[in-house]
Amino acid sequence: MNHEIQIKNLDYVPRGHAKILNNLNADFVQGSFVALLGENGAGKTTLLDMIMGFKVPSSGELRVRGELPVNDQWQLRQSIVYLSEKMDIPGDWTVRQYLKFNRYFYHHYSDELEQTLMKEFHVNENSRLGSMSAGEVRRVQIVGALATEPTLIIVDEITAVLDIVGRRRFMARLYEQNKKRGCTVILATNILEELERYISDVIIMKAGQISVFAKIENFLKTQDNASFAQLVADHLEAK
Amino acid sequence: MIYHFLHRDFLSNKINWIINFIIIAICCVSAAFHPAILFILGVVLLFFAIIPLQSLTGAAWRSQHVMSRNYLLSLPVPRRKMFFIVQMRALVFAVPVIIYALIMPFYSPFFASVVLSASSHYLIYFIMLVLAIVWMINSAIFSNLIFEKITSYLTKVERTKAWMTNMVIFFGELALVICSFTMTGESFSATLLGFAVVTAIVTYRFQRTQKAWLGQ
Repeated sequence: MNHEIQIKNLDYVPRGHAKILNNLNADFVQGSFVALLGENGAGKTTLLDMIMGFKVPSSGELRVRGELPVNDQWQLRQSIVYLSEKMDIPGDWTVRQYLKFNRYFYHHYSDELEQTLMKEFHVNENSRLGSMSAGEVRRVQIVGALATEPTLIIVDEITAVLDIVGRRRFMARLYEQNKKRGCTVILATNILEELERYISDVIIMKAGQISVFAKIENFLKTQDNASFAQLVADHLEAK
Repeated sequence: MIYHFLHRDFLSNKINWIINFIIIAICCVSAAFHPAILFILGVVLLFFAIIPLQSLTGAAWRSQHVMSRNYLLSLPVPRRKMFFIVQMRALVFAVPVIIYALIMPFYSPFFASVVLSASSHYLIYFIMLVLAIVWMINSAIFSNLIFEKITSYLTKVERTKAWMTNMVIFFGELALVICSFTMTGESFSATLLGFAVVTAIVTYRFQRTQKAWLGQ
C-alpha cells in the first residue's frame, strides 16, 4: 500500500486569522478516490492549497509522495493536475491557444486523448475563452488537465459550475482514470448527487478538523435506509 | 521556456504594441513643433508598462479571464524560475519607457542636468533606471497579493494597521527612489549613494514579493 499524501498534526493559522486547519491527520492511499466534503469555510480549499504547496503549514507535516510540497519538487507536478474555481486563463485566448500553451509543459500529454475529450465535453477549439460561460471554461480546463495523463488529480469545487451532463461525464472520466490507471483523485465538492457511485473514501471536515474519514461502504453502513446526502448532512449538522 | 511565455504575451498584446509604436511615432514628429509632447510620451510609455502587470503576474484577485497565480504555480516548472519568468515578461513591456528615459537626457535640459555630467553617471543612471522598473513591477505584484490578504484579516483594526503600514512602506520606498534619482549627477559620491539606496530597496522589495508570490 503506497502513500500518496500523508498529513500529520497539521495546523494552519495565517496572520490575523483564527485557526483554519486544526491538528489534521490523514493518510491518502495511492489509487483512492477521495471526496472531501464539508461546509463552506471548513478548510477544504486550504488543505488542497497545502497539498499543492501554495500555502505553508504553520505546524505539523504534509507530504505528497514522500516530499514536502513547499520544497518545490516541481518534477512531481508532471503527473499532478489541479483544477480549481480559483484558476483562470486569459479571456482573449482561444481554446486552441490555451491547449497549445498548456501542452508545452507536460511530457506525457496525449493529443489523441485531448481530441477525444474535446468531443466528449463539446469543446470548440476556435471559441474565445472570454466569451464562454464559467462552466464552459471549466470544461476546457478539464480537457487540458486530463490530457496530461496525470496520476494525481486534485479538484476543488469545479463541479458546482458544470451542468448535469458535464458533471456526469467529468465524474465518469475521473472514475475511469481512477480504476483503469490507478490514478488518485481528491475531489472537494458540495455536489453530492451520485457521488457515492464513484468514490472509495469520504472525508468530512468541520471547522478545520477532520470529523469523518472512512471507506464509502463503511460510511454508508452507519445508518440504515439513509441516502449518502442525508448521512453527510446529518454529520455536518451534528454538534 | 521564457520564449514560450513572451511569444504568447506578444500575440495577446499585438494591438497594444502597434498602438504604442504609432503613438511614439506621432509624439516624435509632434515634438519638433512642441518639445513638451515628449513628456506626454513618457507618461504614455509608463502606462504601457504598468497596464499589463495585472494580467501577466498572476493576479491574486479573483478577476475573471486573467491568468491566475495558482495556474502558474501548478505547472511543472520550478517556482523560482516561474517567478523570474514573470519578472521578465513584465520587464518586456517596460523596454520602451527604459529606452525613452535613456534618450531623454540628450533632448531635455532637465534630464541632462541630472545625469550627463559624466559618462560614469550615465551608466549608473541606466542601471538605476532598470532597477527602478524592477521595483515598480515587484511593488505592483506585491500590492496585489498583500491587499487581498489584508481584506481577509478578521478585525478592522488589524486590516487598517496592515493597510497603513504597507502604504507607508510603499510611499517611503517611492520617495527614496525619486530622491536617489535626483542625486545622480550632483557628485560621484552622491550618485553612488543614490545607486546603493535604490539597489537596497529593490533587493528588499524583490525578496518580499518573491516570498509572497510563492505563498511562503
